[in-house]
Amino acid sequence: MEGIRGNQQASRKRGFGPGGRTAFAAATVAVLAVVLTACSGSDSGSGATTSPSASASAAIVDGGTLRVGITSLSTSDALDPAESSTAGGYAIAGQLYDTLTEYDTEGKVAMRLAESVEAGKDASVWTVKLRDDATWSTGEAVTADDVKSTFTRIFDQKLPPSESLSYIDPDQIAVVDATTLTFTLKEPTVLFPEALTSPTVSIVPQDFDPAAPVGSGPFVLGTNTPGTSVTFTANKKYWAGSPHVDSLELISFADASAQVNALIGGQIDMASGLDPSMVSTVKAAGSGFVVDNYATSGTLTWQMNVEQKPFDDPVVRQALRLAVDRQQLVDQVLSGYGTVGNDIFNPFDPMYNSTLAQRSADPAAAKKLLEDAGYTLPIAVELTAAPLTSFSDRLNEVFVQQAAAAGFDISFKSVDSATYYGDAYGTYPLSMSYWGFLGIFDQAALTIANDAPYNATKWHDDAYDKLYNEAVTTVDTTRRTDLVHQMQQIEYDSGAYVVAVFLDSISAYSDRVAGYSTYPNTDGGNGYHFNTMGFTS
Amino acid sequence: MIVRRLLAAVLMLFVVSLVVFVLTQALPGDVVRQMLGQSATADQVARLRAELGLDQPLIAQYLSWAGDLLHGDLGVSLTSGEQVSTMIGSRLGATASLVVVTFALMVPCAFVLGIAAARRPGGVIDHVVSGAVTVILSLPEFVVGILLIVLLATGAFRILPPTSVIPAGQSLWQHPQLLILPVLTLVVTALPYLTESVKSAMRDELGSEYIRWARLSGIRESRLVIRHALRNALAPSLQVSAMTLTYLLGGTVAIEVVFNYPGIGSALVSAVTDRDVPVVQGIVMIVAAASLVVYVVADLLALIVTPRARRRAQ
Repeated sequence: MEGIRGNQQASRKRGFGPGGRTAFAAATVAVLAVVLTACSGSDSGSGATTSPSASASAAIVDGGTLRVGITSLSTSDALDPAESSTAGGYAIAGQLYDTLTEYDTEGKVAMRLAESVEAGKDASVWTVKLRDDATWSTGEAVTADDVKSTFTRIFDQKLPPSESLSYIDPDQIAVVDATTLTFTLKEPTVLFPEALTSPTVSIVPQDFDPAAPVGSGPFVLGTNTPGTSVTFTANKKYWAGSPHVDSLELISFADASAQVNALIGGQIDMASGLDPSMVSTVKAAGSGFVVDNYATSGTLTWQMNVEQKPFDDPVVRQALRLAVDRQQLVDQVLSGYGTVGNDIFNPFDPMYNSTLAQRSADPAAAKKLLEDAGYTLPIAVELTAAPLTSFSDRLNEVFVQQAAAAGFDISFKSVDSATYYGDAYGTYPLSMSYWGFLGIFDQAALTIANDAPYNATKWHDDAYDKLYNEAVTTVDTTRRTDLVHQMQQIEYDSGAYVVAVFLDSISAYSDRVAGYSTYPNTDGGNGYHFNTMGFTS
Repeated sequence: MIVRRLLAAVLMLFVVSLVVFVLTQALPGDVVRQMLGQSATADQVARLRAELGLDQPLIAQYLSWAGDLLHGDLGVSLTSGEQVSTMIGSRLGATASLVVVTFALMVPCAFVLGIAAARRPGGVIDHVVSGAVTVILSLPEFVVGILLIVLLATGAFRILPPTSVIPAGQSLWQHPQLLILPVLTLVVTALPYLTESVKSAMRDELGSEYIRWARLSGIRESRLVIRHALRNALAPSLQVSAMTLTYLLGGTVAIEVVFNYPGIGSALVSAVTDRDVPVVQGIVMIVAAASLVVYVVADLLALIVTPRARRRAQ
């Protein structure tokens, strides 16, 4: 039993991607597979193709069952979208329900169940117009009353979104007509449309029963074996058109190599959220598989706690940011499947400040900063992290080595996620978190500005909050962009997150599967949009 | 004597349940924080804790669980809200299938090989068995599993399914080929040790005075081995077989993760990770009960095959 302790799956919060698994096993398989395949000599030279969205043009024949291996379902995955806090829960919600808005294939906010979401003149009143052709899987139309009851239910039962959407006043949601309603917010905010992309605010009918969930999404629940598999059948009357496949199976894999083995063995059609180190195994398996990847806003970010030494000093924070060799992390740990970060969130947001100089590794300068500030090197710090993905431990280990060159003596402690979120949570001087798939405003609201509820860095900056509070009430896009750029300048100069890498979403699938797109701001391979996928034969 | 053993077994189960409960409580973190993760706020933690009954004192929680258990109710999973019995029912069948099939294949092999090795000390079989023990003891099950997958499923020869994913809505026995690799892995891992034990028990018997006398008095060698030596070697071998069986119950944990095998081992790993105490308790209780049954049965069988002990018991 001891052999696998510490490799357990950490169910990720607000996250997608590969789970925490037997990294050693993965590496072993990768090496062995290459060796044995080379020995057998049958597949030499004809590796799987890597081609982002190569399959988009192939003709899809309707029908069949799409079997998707994901890492990983857990018994905590809720069928009630508002109770959902796991990657598996979001994957399920994406099939059964619709959100009012969603992030599209370019990572921009787009309409889904809503036809439009429009602000009044100062972002305090929002008018939501629903599309008129959406129906519940039971056949009745989706109405404005359903939308209203979705939100009143969340606030009446104090479900988790009631805290992240604290600016919504459940008593000030007015139904105008069957497909129109207005939200009068407690405080004006422009982040309303992007906050509605969260799967936790998926729209459910007025008589919603989580035990027998009814939604308006592309699929209808078949069987649910929590933590093992979930099956769905196509909602043939889905407003955006029936899914290509007749049924969908999400199958959980606790182990990264088991997921890839199942793909190679033909037991699943698609492996969603692949560990970067497993790509070579898929490629070695021959020409029957496609590896598809695209950049996302998902990031494993280091959090420097400003209430703890040594990170209460902005000089030390800047020194650590200078110590990190971002490109090396992408190359070594992510096998190239990632992009470098610049200590600010979401490069896919239209307001992202791309004028800031890309920070690159300069351990000598970092060391000088620290010495000039009077520190005796090395500075000892403890880094605590859960295995958020199968490669997050590796990421931390390389990070520790890089920081050593700049005068940091970081001891890395890997703990399971229940331990991580236990009593000591919030007191770690340095820790790692998984964030992403949030617009800049949503990210700021949840983790940066105004003592945000999920801010593990405890960082607080009056100037930043002032800019943020002005920006969220500014409807004018040009002005707001300017304010966001100033906010990100402050984060870049003195913030407490080390946003060093953004992770690619990597999926591998059978060459019979097509319809794969990029969803840079959405969880999971293909953004869990399995209705657009199907078989070519 | 049997009654006494059963009583001891029940007492043992109670102790195990208490120990497991205390240990799970001693683990840092709890199910609520694990479920809410980085989106936890004090209000949400308190709400969920109350919902799950975790705001009750620990003793009350344990007593309520133990009381339900006496009524045959294993309780409800804290993470999924499902009945623990439903949750682990089908998984229990899958693990039991794995262990029983492995055991049924392994025991005859171990006895045949063990006897053959004992009859020719220093012979080829003897050396192979000793060598295999040394090699296998240094290889964890999951490494053996990975090697077999690469060899027989995804690499050199693609003739077996690499994982044990059962198509939705179907049972394991509709797809017996899914058992092959996990069973093979467990056999490879556990067979050398059992064979070695049979071998040494047999060798002790074959080298003993009475066998030498019997041999001198002209009893046929095959009769000597089977009727005399094996009979006496059976009791210690049964004990080792029982140990092997309980080892298999534990060994499936790693195997189930490697093969994505839908058994109680992998369920136990996630339940511990999630701090889902009722599920941990339920699985441990079942495995502990099964292990106790195995030992009691092995003891009884040993009594039956050992005339002296049988007489003493009477």
